[in-house]
Amino acid sequence: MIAFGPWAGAYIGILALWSLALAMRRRPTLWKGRSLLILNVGFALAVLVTAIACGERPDNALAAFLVSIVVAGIIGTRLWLLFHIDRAVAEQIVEKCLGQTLAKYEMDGDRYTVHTAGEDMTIEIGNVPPALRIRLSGGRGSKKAALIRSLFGKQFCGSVPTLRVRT
Amino acid sequence: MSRVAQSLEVTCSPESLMNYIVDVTNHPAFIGPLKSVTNIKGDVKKPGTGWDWVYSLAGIELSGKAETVRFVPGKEFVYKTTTGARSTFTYRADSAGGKTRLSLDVEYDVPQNALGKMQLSVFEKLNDQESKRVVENLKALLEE
Repeated sequence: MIAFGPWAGAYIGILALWSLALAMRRRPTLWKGRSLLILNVGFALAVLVTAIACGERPDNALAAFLVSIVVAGIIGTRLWLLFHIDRAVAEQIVEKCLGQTLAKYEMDGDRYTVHTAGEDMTIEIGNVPPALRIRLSGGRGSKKAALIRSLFGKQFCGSVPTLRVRT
Repeated sequence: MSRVAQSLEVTCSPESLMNYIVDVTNHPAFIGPLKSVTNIKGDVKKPGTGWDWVYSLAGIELSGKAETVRFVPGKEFVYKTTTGARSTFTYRADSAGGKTRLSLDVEYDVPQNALGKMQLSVFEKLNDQESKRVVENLKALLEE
């Protein structure tokens, strides 16, 4: 049997390092829930490959843990969090993206409603200390909505280090 | 040099199309891998005006410089990259019976070292698909 303890410790260690790397950033950073899903699926696969290689199976606690982190990853796939940025700057960036995509929109409190050729898209910014939660929903059937999402994502550093090469 | 060309009709005036395209800070909105355009040194409509760009490809960010070659209001915008693999982008707008025909023509040096084992035809096909996405994205932005 492959024991729960060491693997759970390794997983917590990875999350701790990732959190530390995020905390040490100074530039506005976008954390996408999809990256947690990739980590969790990769971690579960690593455990399964190890189990197959050793000819053993995970104990019940480890199996339940793997299922729970994959499910948590799936649930959080659409979650976007912004770090190292205040709300006013985040709103300015949203409005800049809407301007650059020639979007027609209305602002009602904390919510932007973007009119597209398909379903309207809504953009909401919420506080989830120490981060801001940004939710871009709707816009099905609209290419412009997809382009707004893409452009917004480009305004920030990613949550994992990126290699930059000067050409 | 290799070359890709795409065109399609857009429901807007040639002037509004070219005014949108000549603002190079808008380019990350319709060029998928282009992450940012910064440090514009002057009026982009004037030949020789330069700017910095960052492309994001497969998790690696490539940064470089580009500059305006030519701008004809309501008609044409040409710029070239001046670092790394050389390329020239030509956007044209032609009136077409109440609509505008948008054409994108890209000439580029094929980076032989970067190609590795990838066949030239595959590389060109990828560029062809990307340029098609660019004109389709422009159409969506200007019409939706």
